[in-house]
Amino acid sequence: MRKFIKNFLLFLLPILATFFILELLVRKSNSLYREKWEGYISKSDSINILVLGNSHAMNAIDPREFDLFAYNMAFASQSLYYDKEIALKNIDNMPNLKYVLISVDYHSFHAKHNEARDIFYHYYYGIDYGNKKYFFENVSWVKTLGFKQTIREHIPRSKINPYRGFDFSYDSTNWNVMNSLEGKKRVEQFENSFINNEKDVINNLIDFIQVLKSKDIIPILITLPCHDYFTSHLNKDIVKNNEKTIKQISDLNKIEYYNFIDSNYPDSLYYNVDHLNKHGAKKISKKLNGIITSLNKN
Amino acid sequence: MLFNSIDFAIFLPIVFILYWFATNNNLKTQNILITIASYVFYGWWDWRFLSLIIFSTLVDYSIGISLSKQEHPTKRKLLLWTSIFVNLGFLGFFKYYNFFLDNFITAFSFLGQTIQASSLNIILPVGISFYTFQTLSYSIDVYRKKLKPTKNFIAFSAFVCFFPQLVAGPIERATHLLPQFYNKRKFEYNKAIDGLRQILWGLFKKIVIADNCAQFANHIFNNSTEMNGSTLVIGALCFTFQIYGDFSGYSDIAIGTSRLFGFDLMQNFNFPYFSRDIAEFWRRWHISLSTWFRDYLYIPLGGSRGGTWMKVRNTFIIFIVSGFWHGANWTFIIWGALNAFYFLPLLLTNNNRNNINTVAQGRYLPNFKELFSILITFGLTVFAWIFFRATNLSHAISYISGIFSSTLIKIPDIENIGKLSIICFLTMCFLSIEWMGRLNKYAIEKLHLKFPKPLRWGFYYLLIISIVYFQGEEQQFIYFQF
Repeated sequence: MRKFIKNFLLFLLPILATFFILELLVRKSNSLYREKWEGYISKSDSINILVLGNSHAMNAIDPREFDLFAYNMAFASQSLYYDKEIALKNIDNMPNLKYVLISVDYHSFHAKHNEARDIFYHYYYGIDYGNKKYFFENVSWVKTLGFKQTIREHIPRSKINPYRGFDFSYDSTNWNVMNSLEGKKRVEQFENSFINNEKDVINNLIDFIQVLKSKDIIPILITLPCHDYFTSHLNKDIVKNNEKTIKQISDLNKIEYYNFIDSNYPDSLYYNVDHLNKHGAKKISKKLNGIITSLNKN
Repeated sequence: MLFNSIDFAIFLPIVFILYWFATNNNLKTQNILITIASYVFYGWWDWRFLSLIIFSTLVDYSIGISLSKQEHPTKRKLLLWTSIFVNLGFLGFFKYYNFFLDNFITAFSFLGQTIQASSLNIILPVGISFYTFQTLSYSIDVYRKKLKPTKNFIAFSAFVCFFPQLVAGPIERATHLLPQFYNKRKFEYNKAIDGLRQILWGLFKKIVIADNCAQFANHIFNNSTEMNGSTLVIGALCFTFQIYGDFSGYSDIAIGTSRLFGFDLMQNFNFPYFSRDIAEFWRRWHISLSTWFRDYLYIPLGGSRGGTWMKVRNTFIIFIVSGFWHGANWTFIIWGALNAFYFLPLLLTNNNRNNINTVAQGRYLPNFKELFSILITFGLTVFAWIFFRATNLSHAISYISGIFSSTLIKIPDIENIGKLSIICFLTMCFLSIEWMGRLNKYAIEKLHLKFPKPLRWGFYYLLIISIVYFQGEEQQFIYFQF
């Protein structure tokens, strides 16, 4: 038995050592989540405008174009649940926060919660989804993120250096995916994830808006530009219903809503059918800055 | 609890340490520990169904004792039938109730009669087909006086619920496994190392081969109507390797785990895809089930002793029942019948025992005739697996029609061709290793005799890296559903 245990442990040693090193590396590695969060916390004092939302806002709102100090905390597939949690977790540390831009898009009220990303919010933001428990996830990040993903994606990352949370990686147009077929696919992708949970999502958003208002922070709802290749495939009834819901929310809470979805921007301002690139981001951000400046004057 | 889960990776060392260090090598304590550990293992899935195993254990134990006291043939027969009725009753209810009900309703509707009955929402207890057959083997062998009934309830409980093979076999015979619970078990270094090696090989088969093939097989079978013929062939091939990697991988882990505790389980797979005819395939595939049916169904029915008609009848019965054992679906019945059709010509021409030995023994490669026979047998098997995997008969028929259409010569329509290429490469490596080790109980059994330690360990690390790096999306073991 002694020989067995000795040899077994000897055999395990390199595996455990490798695992341990990977674990250390992945816990220290860069990620856009980490960098955005670190910036968000360290610049809390200065933030006047907080941008929340999914990838549409993440890629479309460039904080450099605002006169006030803006910070972009939108992220790919980020739900309204996380928008609220991100803002509220740090709200007491943002004494100068005046505006919160919340992106509401075609899928915002209907998409099924994307569980695959919960772990990133837990690891990098310290935000948990509901009462979800993370015992095994905390024991090993490598196991949770997957060995292959850890080695391929999480460890070798160099610093991304977003500017106030804004990542510049969409710097041109991906012509391969700028067509109607891709637009149709993308809409289908969204619609496949639709479930009947609007009520909870909307109530959560209303609650968020009311908390912000109670702290004298002005929430602004926005819908960002998407290409006609995308919008032409949207289900008209859902669009109509969304508009009705947003109008009700904004009327009831006396807040502003700006819908830029049909902005008719040229192809060169898009990265793909439903995301602006950095040039498009510059244009829409300037427009938003104009709106906020006029609101600020009033 | 799945073998390829973190839960099991924690559970196994705990049980192993308790078994060898905390029981003071006391046989009774070890058997109690195995029983408790097995109940935890099973209850991890759904503790409510433990009552079924415990009830089955109590019934068969009592029947065994009663049989030992009873000499009257009719009364003995009655006791045996009680065991069969109870065990198959549970199996029938949980597994086949809805199937029979639906088919009765359909049959009567053809006759213009409407039956008002609704299906029940029944959960199939994991492993019920496996432990039912195992306990039945005990009652039958005691009845046949091939085995002395045990008075050791703890040993019997441990035999029924022995966790390594509880949920997906190998289906052990009482004559083989039960005595191992009576005898003092000593830790043997070589046996334990061999067990670990077999577990590692089983994990590789399951996680790398089966789970990766499953992704393609599932996608293609689930969207078969949109796929061209050549893609459907790839789907069938992927399922062929998925089911082999999955089930034989599970068996390897089960056998290896048992060896860590000093037990020997029977071999369940013997490189079936290198078979030269269907008879050989069935001597090498799911051996514990085929031999169970042979001993407890085929031979009692008369086996091949009678005339031609009897041979044909018995062959069909055994294959159809074997198919039906896999699930309450006509696809499994057709799969069984199809294999009977494959087998029949060999039986009728007395060629069913032509290929008893291993192919190309003493040679590195098969000759042309052997290779041709292997490929033909493999092709027939792949075809039969389509019925096994299809969700229903019309799905199977449309899948096969899709293959034999003009689109067969089109380029396969696979989205992730890069990943498929990697899986093909891994499967080829896997088959090469299996080929080289085909004379052993499992492919890498004799590795320690052929290679020095550094090379051997290097190979094990390579397997571990493959498991870690190429792991497919976790899939439940296919045979859990049976």
